[in-house]
Amino acid sequence: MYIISCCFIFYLYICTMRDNSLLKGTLQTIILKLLEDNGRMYGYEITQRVKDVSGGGIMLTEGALYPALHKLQADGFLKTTTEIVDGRARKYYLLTEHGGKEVTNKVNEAQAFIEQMQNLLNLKPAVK
Amino acid sequence: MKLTNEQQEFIKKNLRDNLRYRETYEELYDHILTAFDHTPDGLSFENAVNKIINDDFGGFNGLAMIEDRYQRTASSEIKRLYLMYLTKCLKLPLISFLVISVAAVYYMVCQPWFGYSILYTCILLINLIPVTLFYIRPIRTGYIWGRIKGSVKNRGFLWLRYIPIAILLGVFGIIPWIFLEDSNPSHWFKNAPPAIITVILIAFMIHTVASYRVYRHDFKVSLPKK
Repeated sequence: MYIISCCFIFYLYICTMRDNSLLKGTLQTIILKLLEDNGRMYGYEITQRVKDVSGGGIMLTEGALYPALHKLQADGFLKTTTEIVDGRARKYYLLTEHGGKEVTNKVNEAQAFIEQMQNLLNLKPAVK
Repeated sequence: MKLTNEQQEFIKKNLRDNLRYRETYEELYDHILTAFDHTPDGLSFENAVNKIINDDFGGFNGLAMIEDRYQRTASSEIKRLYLMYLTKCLKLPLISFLVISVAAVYYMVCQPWFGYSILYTCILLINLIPVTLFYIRPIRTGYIWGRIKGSVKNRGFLWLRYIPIAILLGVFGIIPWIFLEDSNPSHWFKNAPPAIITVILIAFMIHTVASYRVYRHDFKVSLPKK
């Protein structure tokens, strides 16, 4: 699963050509997929995992991550647990049952979208 | 990079000055300190702070944007929950209690002793519950004036508290003023049919029940069991 996740993020990286504005539509999918593979993660850990997997190509900057996490939590896809680590509160995000089901849908949607984009970008002139 | 206590206090103070909500403060403070754990020792403290805040959040403006979006998400979640519980009041099994309440309130309104002052007292008593909950909530969530930031959900709960005020203004102020020649609420009430008064009282009761359930839902989700 981890390899699939890596391939998926790397593929998005190739498709987006390092343009993070194209990531907005797929950010929720990336988060859900990472949490499915890793169980529970905190904010910084997610940004680092995305950075590592994409070889530094995808950077979750300008506060894109936290609003997405909060939205997913409000939608009931994620729940949180708080633990005290090194004397400070650390908020971990993990998938709810509903979120677990949503991952498959989101990944399928993303894959279908990528295939469609590939078809569109590889269009050749019709031969008469 | 290991931070000294003074450096940690400096970050805390800066975040306290720039952030409005406790949830974002705690989450971003942990993010910054974890980022420091992964920062090489060669970088100066000031440069490292600026680098983390600029790279991860797009500067202090980015922090404000995160808070604005979080606040909007939290408020719409509270509104969604409120509407959900409001709708539940109109479905089984709660609708059976509602029917009994309508009958009881209508009977009370039809009595000769029921007057304008009693109506006002009833509305005030019904409203006392959401208003009390609004003020109890910060205490239960550990809010300390000046030391701990307020919750990002407070604004959403403020919206819940203002609904009855809007209804009161509408029913006793604006509607008679626009639609009736005599805008005195007391005169309007005397001429109003009992069914209308019943609807007003029941609306306040449903609002109170829905508000209470939103508060209960919030605590059930937010507070860990001891």
